[in-house]
Amino acid sequence: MGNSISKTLGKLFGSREMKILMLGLDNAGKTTILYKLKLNKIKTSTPTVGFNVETVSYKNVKFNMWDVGGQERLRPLWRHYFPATTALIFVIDSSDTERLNEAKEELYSIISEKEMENVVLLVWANKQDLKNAMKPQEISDFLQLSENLKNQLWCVIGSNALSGQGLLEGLSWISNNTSKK
Amino acid sequence: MIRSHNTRTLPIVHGDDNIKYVISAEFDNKQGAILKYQYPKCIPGFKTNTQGAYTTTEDGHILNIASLMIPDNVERNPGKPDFTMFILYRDTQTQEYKLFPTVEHPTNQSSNINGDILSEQDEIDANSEISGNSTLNMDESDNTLYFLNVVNTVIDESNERGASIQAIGMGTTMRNFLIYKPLIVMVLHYYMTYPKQDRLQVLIDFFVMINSLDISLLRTIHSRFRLQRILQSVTDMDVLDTIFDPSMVNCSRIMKFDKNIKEDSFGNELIIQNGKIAQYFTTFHPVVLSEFLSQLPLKANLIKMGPIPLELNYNNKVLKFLSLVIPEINKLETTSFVRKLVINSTYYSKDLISQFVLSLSNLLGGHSHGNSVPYFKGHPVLFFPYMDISMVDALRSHIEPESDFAKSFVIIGTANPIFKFQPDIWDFYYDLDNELLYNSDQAGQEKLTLKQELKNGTSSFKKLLVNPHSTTFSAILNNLDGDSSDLHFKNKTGLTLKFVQYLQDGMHNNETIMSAFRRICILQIIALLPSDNNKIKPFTSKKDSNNELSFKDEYIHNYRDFVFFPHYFQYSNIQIIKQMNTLVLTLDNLKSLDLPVTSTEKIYSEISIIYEIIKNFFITVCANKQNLDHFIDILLNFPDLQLSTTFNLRTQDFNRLDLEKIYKSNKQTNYDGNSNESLGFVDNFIKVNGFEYIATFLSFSINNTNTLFSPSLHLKYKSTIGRSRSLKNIFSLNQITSSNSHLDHSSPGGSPKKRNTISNPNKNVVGGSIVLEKRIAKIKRVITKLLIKIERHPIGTILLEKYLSKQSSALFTSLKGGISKSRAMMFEKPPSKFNSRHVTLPVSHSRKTLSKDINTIVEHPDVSQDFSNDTFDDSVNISMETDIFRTISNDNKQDSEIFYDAQ
Repeated sequence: MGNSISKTLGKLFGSREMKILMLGLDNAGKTTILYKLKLNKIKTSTPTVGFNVETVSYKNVKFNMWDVGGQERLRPLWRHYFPATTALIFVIDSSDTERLNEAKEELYSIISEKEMENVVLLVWANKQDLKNAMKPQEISDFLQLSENLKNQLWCVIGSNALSGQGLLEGLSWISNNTSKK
Repeated sequence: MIRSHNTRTLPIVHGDDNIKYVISAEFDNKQGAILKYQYPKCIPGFKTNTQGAYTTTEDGHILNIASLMIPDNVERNPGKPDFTMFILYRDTQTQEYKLFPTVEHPTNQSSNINGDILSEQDEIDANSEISGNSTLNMDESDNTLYFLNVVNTVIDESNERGASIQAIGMGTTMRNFLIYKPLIVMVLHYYMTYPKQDRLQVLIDFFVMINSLDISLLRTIHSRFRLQRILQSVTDMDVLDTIFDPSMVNCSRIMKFDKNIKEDSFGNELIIQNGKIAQYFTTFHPVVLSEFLSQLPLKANLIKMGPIPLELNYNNKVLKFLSLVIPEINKLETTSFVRKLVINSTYYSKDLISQFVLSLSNLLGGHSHGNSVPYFKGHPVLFFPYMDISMVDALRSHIEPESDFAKSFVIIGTANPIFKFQPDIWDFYYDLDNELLYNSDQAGQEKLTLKQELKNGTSSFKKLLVNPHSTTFSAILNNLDGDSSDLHFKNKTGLTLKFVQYLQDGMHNNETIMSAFRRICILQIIALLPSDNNKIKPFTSKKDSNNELSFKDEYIHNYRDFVFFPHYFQYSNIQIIKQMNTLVLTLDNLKSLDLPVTSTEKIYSEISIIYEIIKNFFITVCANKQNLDHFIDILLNFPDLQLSTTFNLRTQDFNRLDLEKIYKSNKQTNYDGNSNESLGFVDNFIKVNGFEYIATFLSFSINNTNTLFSPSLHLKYKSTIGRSRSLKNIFSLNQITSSNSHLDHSSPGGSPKKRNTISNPNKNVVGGSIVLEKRIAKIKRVITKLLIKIERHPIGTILLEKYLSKQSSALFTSLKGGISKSRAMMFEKPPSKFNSRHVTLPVSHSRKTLSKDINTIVEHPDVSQDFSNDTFDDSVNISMETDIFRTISNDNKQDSEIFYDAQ
């Protein structure tokens, strides 16, 4: 009963829900992005122990966003969060050029998993407000996604979690590029 | 700085009886949770490297215990300490500790996953109640370490990520590890505020401080588990007040300590009052820790409430869970039921989650023996009070179909809803925050995929899952010899579930809840007892022990109500329960006899049943202290039989029944004649009746014109149709008068054939039978001796004073006086022959041998006098037992003679 009503309402109003998995190295800004989107506030920065999960509604889409801690010991656990993921958001600290290669390796490690082969990939080149931040295009070139990810939808968008720049744009891209069935 | 990998070099300053290990962990901004220090040495099995300590499972999964100490989302509540708990199991072969237990070897007494775990339970039980200087029993072996961890997040501007997250934990073999909570939380405070270079010393100070106490007194008291069970069963405040009176006379006598004790053996101040023990760290002098900390006492209750004492109130969350899970278990179409249960909460503290899981362990009689609790078909129950996602692969391997623990019952606490997306590791997933129970099969092949969940909408999905009519359980559990013959029971509301509702409505405390559950368990055992077997045997045998295992499984299969008290399934306890049931029904039957037309033969038959039961009780409790403890425990918890005699508890659906109304309508008055209208239904249900059941017959008389009992000693309820039917169906008492079947089975020392030929010339006349009068007098004498035996128990006097009616108490006092006189006369006689003949039949302390010996006594009463004094626990008892054996022996002889006369 509840199932059919929900389905009908969803069709009538075009609302959808999807699971978004937001990953990235530690201190990339994942949690700050999550709570900027959720509360439009900057939450006091503390490292994420484990995960955060919040529902963000945007344009009739409910994004169930899972933000998982990026510390070294937490990364092997990312795969447990893969099931039923619609879109992967990979957050990169654009100013942390020293760890960019590490971030790239982690990203490829994720998208090479079978469970993730059908997800759409959004890369937020975060911390664009910092002076030494690489531009989204530079990040994109570095990641070589166009060469290596031919069968998967992907996009690199510059973002600034403090101001919110690029965040809604990213959600719009996900919304527009995921199945509406 | 000494880190975990080289702490082996540190000296052990004090003993490590109270806590074995102190460890600390922190959240490293780059690495995540890491173990920082281990003291006094690395926990065996937890290898170390430069990044901390970890353990590797047999399947190669790397487990980091720091992730259990720094739980998910702990950063969200800065300044608010939280607690997690986990258990480490020692592999008895490698001596290493592991997060998952290993199958123990048959040589280990507490092991045996597939064998007859319960077969030696009586023996274990009898031998393991501590004595002398021993401080440990099987309950608290070194094979299981309980870790209590406290964690906190402190906003720290100097930290590049803005916060410092630290945890310390302590490992102990003690199950009442929660007593350390107030201390460890303060130690963490100091740990986090002190300079880094002093932190290890904080841990050392803590370790030394805790171990500077000699808490052997507390541990000894707590490890007397049979006494503890008795004390747990006492819910009357006035009894507890008497036990813990300010003079400590009773308390010290019951718990066997010097009432003038002022300090422990290490010289620390010790205060015992109001049922609590407080020990001060008088002799401890910290190196870096504040002196203030050492001024706080370590406090603990003298009564250990449950296998693992907890702070959680069962009424709210635990009963709610039971109200949801029991119906789901009932629906399962196999003889097995829930195997893997995940409890998740992202809202509540990890402390609550951990305690919730441990409370379920307590309800299942958890951690009663060794590392894991044998449950259905002997498979163990494994508890993980808190688990994080990093351990899910290891868990999966541990319970995979090919593993030794494939059929174990696993209960896991977690704070990560991603477990819901791992449906292969759970059969039931309980969302503690929303009080929703999911079962793994309801979504079929799409179970809990987000796609399905999102299609349905979150709330509608939840509703779908909790819809009681949508369940068809998968074949996950079908490999456990399932049968579906009892499908018609699957939607019934059993007695436990019905009581859960009453307990919830009444907002009862944990003690009341557990009291009610104990009584329900006994009632349900009674309902499961075979009706065609009224054999009365005081002890078990190997064969019977095997039956015990299957009886327990039958109970679990029949009732499926989650709550379980393993000790009631010991064969000897089942026998006591069975005989108590027969006793109460027979007393009730006697009361309902239609006087004066009832024949003497009929009355004789009825009271002979009582005689056999009381005699066996007496033999049982005289055999050893353990039996007496068990007997008193059962008397304290023996329920009003109204429910078991009115309903078939195995099949009855209580859903629409108003038990309160039925109870009230059937109930007249208490034994003491006082109305109990003022008490609520549950409070009435948990009233202690057992002692009065034993003493009731003291008021029996055949000289009254209308009744066999004194007017004020009426039994609890009138004969009802339901009860009468039940009497016939369950106990076949209608056959007693014709065949004396009870006597046939239960009087091995008697002459059944002769008894069956009883023919009394005074038939149809109640009074005037010498046979009857003699038998009544004998029964009263044995009852009196049984009550004396109870009275001699450390807590016996208090219990009898409270739970015997005034009239029974007066009768008991009077009869006791008579026995004392006759005993005094007996001692004046020349030494009796049994003293000189005791060597002819030596008695072993072994239960099996003793059982055989007792059977020999019963079968050959003439040699009962041969028993040496070693059999019994004090010289007074010896005289009593000799007396009763002689009485029994002479009684049989006399009866035979009289029967011949009558013929």
